[in-house]
Amino acid sequence: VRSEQALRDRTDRAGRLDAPTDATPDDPAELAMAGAVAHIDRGRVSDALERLTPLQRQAIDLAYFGACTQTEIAEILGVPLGTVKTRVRDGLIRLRDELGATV
Amino acid sequence: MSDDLHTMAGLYALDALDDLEMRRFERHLDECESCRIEVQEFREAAQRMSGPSQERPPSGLKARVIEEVQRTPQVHLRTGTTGHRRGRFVVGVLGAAASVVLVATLAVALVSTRSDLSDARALSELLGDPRSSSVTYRGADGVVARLVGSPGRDRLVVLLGDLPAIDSDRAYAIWLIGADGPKPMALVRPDGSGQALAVIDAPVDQFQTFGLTDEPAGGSPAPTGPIIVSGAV
Repeated sequence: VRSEQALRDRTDRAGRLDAPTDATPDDPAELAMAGAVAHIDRGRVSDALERLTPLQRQAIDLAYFGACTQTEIAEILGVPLGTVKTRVRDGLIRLRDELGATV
Repeated sequence: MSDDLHTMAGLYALDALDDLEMRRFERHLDECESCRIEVQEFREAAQRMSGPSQERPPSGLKARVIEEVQRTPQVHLRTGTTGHRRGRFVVGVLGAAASVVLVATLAVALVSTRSDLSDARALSELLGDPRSSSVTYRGADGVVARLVGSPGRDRLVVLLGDLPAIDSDRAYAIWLIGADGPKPMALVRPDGSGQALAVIDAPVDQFQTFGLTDEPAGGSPAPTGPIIVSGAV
């Protein structure tokens, strides 16, 4: 239940593209620009995700997209809790650095 | 103990700590500024993973897009020989940087010359959707085609750039080619800067290839001109 709530929260936070807040809804140029900007950002994010180690990626995917708790992740991956903590944090540090460097 | 607490910042930022550990970490956060900063940075990074955010794009990024767009007319994407006017198949897939510039340019140029809101909206939604797929091809003539497929593969946006001007009785035809041969999907004419956009609603998975030819303005049931650019869909 907690995971479902977390997933909902994330979805809410992530928001929807059909209402970019810096564009008036009826301005096609602004809409397309918002789309292009989002597209470019998506490219940067996938590049950054590619640079994670497979183990970091796996742990982050489970925690973020899978909305798993630390215990669930440790069970799924068959590794100690401490390892899960380190992998997720190291992965996020890399992600933050990769993304931060480009904006 | 303190090291152990610091390592929880990642899981905390992703809401993945168990309740007990979460409370422990929150007490730690009260007294550890570096962890507070880290959590905030991790959350921002994580939010970008989930795709388009509700918040404004970072101002620096947007400024750079605009800068690239303004610079683009001088950028020539063609690199190989341009001796052959037409008739060669795909020369290659462009690098990400060139594609980015192309998409941004087309997105802005197209919708500023036409006020077709539904096309702009379709384009915007597709480009911004993390689940959409995209690929860019370049034809022998330097013509660039970027295909963006919707997540459900029921819509394909074709962005064309560097199209040569054509006579008023001609048009560029976009084909999708599957087991039953080429099917005409759209006729487009380039704008003043050689760009065109088509939003194609079709079951993309039933086709293997996309192609572009020069046809009479009224269209043709099957391609008559040589292929200007093509590639897998």
